[in-house]
Amino acid sequence: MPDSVPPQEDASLYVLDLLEGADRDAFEANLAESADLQRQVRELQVNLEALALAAPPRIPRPRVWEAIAKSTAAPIPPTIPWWSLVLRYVRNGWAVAGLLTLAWLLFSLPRSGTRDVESLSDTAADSPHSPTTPQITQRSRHRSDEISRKSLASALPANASAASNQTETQPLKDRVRVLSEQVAVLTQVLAQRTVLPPGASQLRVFRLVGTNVGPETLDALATEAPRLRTETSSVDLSFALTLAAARQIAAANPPKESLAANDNSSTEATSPPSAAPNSSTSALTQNTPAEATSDAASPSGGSTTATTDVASLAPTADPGAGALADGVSSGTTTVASRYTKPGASTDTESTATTDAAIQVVDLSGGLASTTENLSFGNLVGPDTTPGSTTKSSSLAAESAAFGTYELETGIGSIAFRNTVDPNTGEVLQLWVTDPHSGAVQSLGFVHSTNPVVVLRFRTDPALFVNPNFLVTLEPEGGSATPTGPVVAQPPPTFSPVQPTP
Amino acid sequence: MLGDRFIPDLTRREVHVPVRFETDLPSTATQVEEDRHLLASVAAGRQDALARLYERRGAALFSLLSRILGTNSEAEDVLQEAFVLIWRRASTYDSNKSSPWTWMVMLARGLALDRLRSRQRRSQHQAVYEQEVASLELEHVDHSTPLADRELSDRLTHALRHLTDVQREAIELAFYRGWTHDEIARTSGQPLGTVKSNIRRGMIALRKLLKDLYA
Repeated sequence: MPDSVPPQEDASLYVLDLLEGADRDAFEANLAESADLQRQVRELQVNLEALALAAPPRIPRPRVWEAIAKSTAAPIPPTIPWWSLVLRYVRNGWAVAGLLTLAWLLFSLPRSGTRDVESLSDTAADSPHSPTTPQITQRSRHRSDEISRKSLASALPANASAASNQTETQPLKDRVRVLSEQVAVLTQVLAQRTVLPPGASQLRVFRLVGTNVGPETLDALATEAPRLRTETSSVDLSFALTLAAARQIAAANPPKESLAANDNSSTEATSPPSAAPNSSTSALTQNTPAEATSDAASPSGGSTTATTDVASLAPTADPGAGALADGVSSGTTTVASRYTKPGASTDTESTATTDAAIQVVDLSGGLASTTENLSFGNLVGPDTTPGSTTKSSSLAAESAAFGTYELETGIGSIAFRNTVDPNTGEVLQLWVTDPHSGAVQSLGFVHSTNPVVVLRFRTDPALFVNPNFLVTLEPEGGSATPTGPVVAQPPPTFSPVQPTP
Repeated sequence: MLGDRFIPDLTRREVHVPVRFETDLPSTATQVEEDRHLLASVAAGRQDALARLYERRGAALFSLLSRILGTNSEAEDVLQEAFVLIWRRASTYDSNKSSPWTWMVMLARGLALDRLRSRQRRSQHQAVYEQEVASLELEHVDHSTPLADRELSDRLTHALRHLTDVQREAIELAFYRGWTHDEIARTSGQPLGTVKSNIRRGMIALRKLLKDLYA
């Protein structure tokens, strides 16, 4: 067996139907001989029963049983042999009529298998639940339905005339489209107000942008976010929004060759990860606090440090733009580091080195009011943030992340795109740190050859009052606390980005 | 309220069948024995036994199928298929291998997963993993069912939440979505061994939780 665990360890996988091929055969061979294993399997099967019952029962419509009854219906059981009936009809002079009736009945009854023949029993006939012959009436109904459909089809105007009216109906279609969009917005608002916890809700939205996130991505986000809200009835709104971002990014950015591939490095590189320049976990305590800000209604009640022209984040035509400017503030943090890709080439001179510069943009939007709800979609809209300082680097350019965080629940999620792929046996681990308390928590692994990585996490909300993000290179499986080279971290000398007046 | 619930209409006549939904685990001895008896009657061709089985387990199976498939209409189709299959295969049920409820669950689940696979070409992106996990969690917040009917599911959901996130997600993806441990590993970015370990530990922990719950 490829998996070298004892058979009883595979009992869980077996009951979940996860064992296949040789593994399954081997387990079943053991199962047939081991009473203890059989007992374990039976016990674990109770879990399946529980999983099946974990959702509240729902009532299917009556038509379901009608269909089942129809499919499993037995013909009316004769109490005397059929030939006796025929003879009786013949003797009574009803031969022709009887045979015709019999033929009609045989034609009308379903073509059942042997099972239905077996069910021709007296017990079934005596049952108060024995079905009548709904098949006959059903067939009649189908025929009449067909006739009705044909009649209806003939009464409808021809396609040609419909085509000729196409140009005339275009304004109407446009109007319907506009109305549909309005309904979608209303649905979005209703959905949010329904699913958000009672009281003021604070959803922090942040972006980690490298150099420049393409406008097409942000445009796509602006389109996607409202649509997703209409489809989602989750309390985990932040995650839903992040997924929307992830999908859009993935669609706009097909998988690229990873940095490793670009550097012609091999995933079989065996050299241990070398410490990157500036890599030190002590940086955790040296970080300059990020100039993350919160809106006036946030639990932290922190001061607002508007370093970005917030109003410019929303289209000027949006009616909620003013409210957005009042309720939302933003700050920026530049996170920079240097990531050295070990073993990228046998030529040490060409070892891949890139600057990791991530610009953190925090946006906090209150969702406690309709106006804010309407405005919120614009927060993830086109980025016209002026004065962005970016560092040109391949890693930064390919590392753009969108995240949301619910202050009430502590649930957050963050989506990265096109991150670098570390060597085999290494992971890029993302941390959130509180520079004041020194607290640190892992948010998950960033690395992936997939175009988008979505991390979902739950943290102490205190960590997200002024969050600092840190990326370190850790051994496979990750670490409980940062131990490896720092790939990205807040710089020792931090200067907030100044907005353009 | 009972009148609002479904009553199998076998004969298109008035059939006074007591309709109730089970509030105990079908694995209790009494429930198992009654289900076995019904399955034996179904195997003997008794459609009234099938109707009774449908009353006892139809709503729970429908709920499971809705959760797997995501749409009520498809769940109803599969529920119909499942009971027709139960009708045809009742004689193959082996009480030494599983309880009647487990047998029905796995049969219906198999049909649903077949349908799920036929409409999905599963991507191996972590976004898909997260999306599936999210969709599983979305289904946890359904408060449309009357409170009395939610009691059992609430207790079971509560038990599930005692598992770690990774354990619960792996088990739920395997059970509700039919994902293999290999697929979970690839999409979640976790090593295969870790996924297997999470499933094993989660299943054992869940078993213990359920034992405590119904001690």
